[in-house]
Amino acid sequence: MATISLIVAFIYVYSDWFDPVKDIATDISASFHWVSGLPGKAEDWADQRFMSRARLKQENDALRSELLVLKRKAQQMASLSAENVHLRQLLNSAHTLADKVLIAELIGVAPDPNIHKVIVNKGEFDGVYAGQALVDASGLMGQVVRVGKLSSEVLLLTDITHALPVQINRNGVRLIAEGVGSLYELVVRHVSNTEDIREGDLLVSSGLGRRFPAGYPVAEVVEVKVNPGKSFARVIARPKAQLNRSRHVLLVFDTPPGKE
Amino acid sequence: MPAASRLWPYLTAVLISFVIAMLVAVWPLPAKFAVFRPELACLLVIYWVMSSPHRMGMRYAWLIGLSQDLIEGYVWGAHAMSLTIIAYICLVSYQRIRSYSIWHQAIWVFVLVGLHQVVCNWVQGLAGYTMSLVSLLVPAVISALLWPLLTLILWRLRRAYLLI
Repeated sequence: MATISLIVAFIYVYSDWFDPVKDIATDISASFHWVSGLPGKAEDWADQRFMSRARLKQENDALRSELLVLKRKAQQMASLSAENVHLRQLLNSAHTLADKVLIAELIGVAPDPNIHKVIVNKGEFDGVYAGQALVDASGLMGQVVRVGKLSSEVLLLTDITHALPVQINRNGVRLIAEGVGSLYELVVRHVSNTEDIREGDLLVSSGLGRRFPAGYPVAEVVEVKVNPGKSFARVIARPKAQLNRSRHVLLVFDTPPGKE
Repeated sequence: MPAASRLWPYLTAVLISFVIAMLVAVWPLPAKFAVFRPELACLLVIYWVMSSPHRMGMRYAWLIGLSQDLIEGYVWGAHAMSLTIIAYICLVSYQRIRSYSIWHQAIWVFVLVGLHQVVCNWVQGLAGYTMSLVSLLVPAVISALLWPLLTLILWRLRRAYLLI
């Protein structure tokens, strides 16, 4: 039996024979996650039902003022995007703004703290495809790796097996950001010691590698350590997305790879 | 051999206990406390094999392990292999372990769950994941501490519903 398990493990890791079955497994797993999430849901429900009037009013006011601020930004955004389209036309480059999105809810998190995967409640029936990007309100979160019928599994940026192409928003330098297994850290690889990169720089997805849509904020550089004795500087960035907080997330419909 | 008619209640009880174990395995915990999650499925395999070795064996353990891999999103075969090994060790040693005192058994359970963690870690390592020493040891300690409670509850249940 142990030998069979080993064979299964090796096939799982080194071949794609299990891929169709893995998608079904996603759904099975999601149902368990869903059940284990029920008490939390009940709490949310009770919280909404039994909220005091004063608190509701306070929350309403807060939301209203936030809406005002965001509306003002949206006004700017409209003129900026018009300008952007205009400039892009001048440059003869393809359009990149305006992706379609789908709102999804997180229903489960991988139980092992070393594996940074989450399960969301949208699947094949909603048009989700493998490789699709997941974002939250503040930045890129990860990519879909398995698609079940009604749920899908998302690999987060910070997983130890994940890396993505980014660029510095300030000057467009292209880099690779790798997950190291900590929710608050990405390591930027192969940054030469003379590279123009500073603490506080915003890293955005570059769209190279054709997985992620370009231009989504990924991380902010928090540490640049130049050691002249080594060939590369050590750069650590903090993901913009709230990887362990966001409950409502967005799946971005870019053009699926291979369909262009 | 017990009467065949007792088979279904027994299997139902085993099944329910493992469904609960799977729920515990995916129960959302804050990242900080995730290491304190007990390996309930492993404990149950130890318990059921030790208490009814004529029914539970390595095949069941393998199936349970595989379903745990599916549900937890592990590399397939990680839990399957470790639970099979655990079941084997329990099968060859149950006569001795049964006669130990409960805390003595708990120490033995600590060793078994530790072994389970090591094997899981090794298979996970194939996919590039590594576990820290803390996440290897803490679940083993927690599971060992849970052992007396678990045996008490299951012993009562088995008495009440004649699950043999």
